[in-house]
Amino acid sequence: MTAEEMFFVWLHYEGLTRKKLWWVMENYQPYTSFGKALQQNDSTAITYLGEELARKIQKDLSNENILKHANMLAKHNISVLLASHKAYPQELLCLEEDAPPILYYKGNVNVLSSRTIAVVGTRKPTQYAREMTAKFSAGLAEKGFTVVSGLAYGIDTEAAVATLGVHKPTIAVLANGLDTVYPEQNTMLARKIEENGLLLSENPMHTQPQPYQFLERNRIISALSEGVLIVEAGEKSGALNTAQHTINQGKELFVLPSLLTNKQGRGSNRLLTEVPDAFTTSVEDICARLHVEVVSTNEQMPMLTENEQKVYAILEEGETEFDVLQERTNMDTCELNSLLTSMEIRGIIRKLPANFYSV
Amino acid sequence: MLGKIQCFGLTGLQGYLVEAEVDVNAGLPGYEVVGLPDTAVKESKERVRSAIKNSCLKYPTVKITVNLAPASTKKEGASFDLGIAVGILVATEQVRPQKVKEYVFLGELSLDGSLRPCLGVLPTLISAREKGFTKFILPYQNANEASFIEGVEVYALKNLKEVVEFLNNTKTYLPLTQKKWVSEQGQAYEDFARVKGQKVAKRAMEIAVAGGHNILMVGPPGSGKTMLAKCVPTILPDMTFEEALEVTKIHSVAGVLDLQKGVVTARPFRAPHHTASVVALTGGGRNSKPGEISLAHNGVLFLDELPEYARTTIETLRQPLEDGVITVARANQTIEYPANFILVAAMNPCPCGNYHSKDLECTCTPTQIQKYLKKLSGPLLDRIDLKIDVDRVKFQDLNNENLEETSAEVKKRVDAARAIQLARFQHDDGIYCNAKMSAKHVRKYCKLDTATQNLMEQAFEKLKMSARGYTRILKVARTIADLEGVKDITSNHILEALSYRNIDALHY
Repeated sequence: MTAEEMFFVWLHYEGLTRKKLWWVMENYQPYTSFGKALQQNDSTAITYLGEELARKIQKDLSNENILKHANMLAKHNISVLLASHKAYPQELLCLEEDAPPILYYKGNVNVLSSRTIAVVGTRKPTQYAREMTAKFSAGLAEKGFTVVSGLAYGIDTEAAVATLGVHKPTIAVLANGLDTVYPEQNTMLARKIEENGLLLSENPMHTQPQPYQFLERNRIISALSEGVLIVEAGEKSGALNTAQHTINQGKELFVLPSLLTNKQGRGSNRLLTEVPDAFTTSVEDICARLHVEVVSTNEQMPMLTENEQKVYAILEEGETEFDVLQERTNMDTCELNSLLTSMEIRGIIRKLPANFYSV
Repeated sequence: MLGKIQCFGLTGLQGYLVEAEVDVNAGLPGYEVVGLPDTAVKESKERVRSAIKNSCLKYPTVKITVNLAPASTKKEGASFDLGIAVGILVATEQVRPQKVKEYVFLGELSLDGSLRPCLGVLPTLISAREKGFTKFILPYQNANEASFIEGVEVYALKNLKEVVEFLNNTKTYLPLTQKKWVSEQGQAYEDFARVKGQKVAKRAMEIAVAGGHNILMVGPPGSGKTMLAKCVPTILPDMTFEEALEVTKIHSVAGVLDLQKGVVTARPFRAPHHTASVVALTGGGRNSKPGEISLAHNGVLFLDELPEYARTTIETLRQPLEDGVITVARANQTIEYPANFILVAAMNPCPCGNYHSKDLECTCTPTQIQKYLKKLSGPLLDRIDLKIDVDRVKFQDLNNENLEETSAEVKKRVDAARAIQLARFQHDDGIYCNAKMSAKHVRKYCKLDTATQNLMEQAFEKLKMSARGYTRILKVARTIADLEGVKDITSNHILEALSYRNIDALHY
């Protein structure tokens, strides 16, 4: 860590807001002149920072304190990128005064230079949405995209897991300081992401996540990505906020349609009526719109027995319950059960919660 | 003169000989019991005195010393009353000692001299018989319980007066005639015929009961989980006499035995509420009484709303689920009770119950759902062979007039499958159903042909099963094959076994 990085990281930790950090970075060149100005009771600096904060910084300002904080970061294996650094993602600068002046990261910073797409959505997805997330994330990752998400429960977690599952890097943008993981259950996942990708945050260490910070974090997710895919979003989902940022930043928005009866999909369906262009149904479509070559592959349907064909035909109409399947096929409980499991193992159909099945 | 009477005490299900020695000495009138008596034994003083007086016998106004040997073991309960009273009567020469020596005396005394029933008569008699005692005098209320034991001569008498008459040969009484044991069907709370729809759940229940597998039902409130569980007693296979004796012993010690019947005839169905404490479930407490899981021995333990039980309470089930016994260790004794039961558990998919529901919104946060599911530990879920989803009943199903299969029909299949298992395990000690097979038995009895082996491999990969899950599937498949009455496990059996799993609680 350079002396300059250490100094700004410490200022950030002392409580300077994003706006004030930018002001210091722009008005004091080299950065050491800011410390001097403070010690000389420079009235502009004191007025801009506010009397109380300025006095606190004056009091705490010492090489010892700065080093101590830098060591703490090093202990947690956290590195930083200042906005002036060449590795700092240029896309974020488009946010202008909303761009984070300092980025904290863990992991491999080089993945920032790859092609990126965000996959986000509700924290409480349906089984269908989970599977779509896995399918799209893995598909996009294999086409060369680095998947960006927020490590939240639900879609975000599924996206990260699926991407790591095909051995591709993924980026998670967190709202809290990088010394902790929120939600806690994703600690193991965060460690894997750190090893195979990147954990990012704009907030200093010891930041406890506040609700507004999750929303602020969303602007970074969309700014980092070339496009944003929303798999499923409820009426009040944070993913809708990400969608708003995506539109404001002029990025490509992709939304998967949900069933009308699905309450968790109301937000994304409404989004589709407002932004019809966002409608997408395949990885290939997304790749084409983000100008990536697609080699088409033909999947062959495995051979089915007569009964299996019957079941398949019913399931093609939509998710169906066991009892209904039984009524329509007139099969024994045990016979139908074995048949369904057999089709499931061969990857033809899926078992859903509450005894539902679908193709 | 000294009176020496044979009585029996109980630790757990094991009886031990207690000799009540009564000595009467000249001196200040008094009554002293030694030999670690508990309060109930000490209080025998008042009962014995009034009983003797009210039976038109003489209570001596001298110093009475009662010693319950062996002196180092704690004596509990009121079943020594009769022995002490007879001892006093022998010591005061109101009863002739010749006949007394041959008999073991059990019974509590009432103030009017009549005998009251005591706990644990069956295990006491069985232990005593093993130790070579064959003649007993008991309260008549315990007659039913005692009349199922072979090779003993039991006199069930009404009061102290009758006992004295019997011992002095002034009147003859006949010993109990041995009763023949008849198995009975459990109390029918519900019948399968009344459960509409729920085909998968019913089939899973049949498999669970046939093979002795533990089963977990996951479903929203009102989906009929409890009703399904209440049907279980109606399809349980008949008990053998040995099994019935094991159960009766436990119920007798716990004091829940129906004295009218005297023996447990139907497999027990126990459904403790979820506020049950660890001790209530596993047994223990001051007297180390058997708990619910032992009372459910050879039957069914039904735990409704499984995650609502205290975590520590559910976790205590792990050892008994594995070993079929529970060891209750207390400061002054360690007791082992059998606890071989089928666990039938039910739970909601989330605290509000509507997670995954198609028409009702779930109001739980992901953290709440996680927390709810986390209450069940992996090791516990690992011991549950069948995990099924039970869905809300649809209106058309409720009004469905179609005849559903009755419990009696299901029971026939279950009985047939059990018979096959009994024959299979006749040379394997302690195993009587597929669920109890060890790894060795699984290798021996669950052989697969190559095609089925391949299928298993495929499933192992695709469904991310664990080694334990693999064995579990084989055991369930074995039961399904037994229900069908075929010798070899085929791929269809494996496939069906694989279908009884829940997506959320999936721990294969």
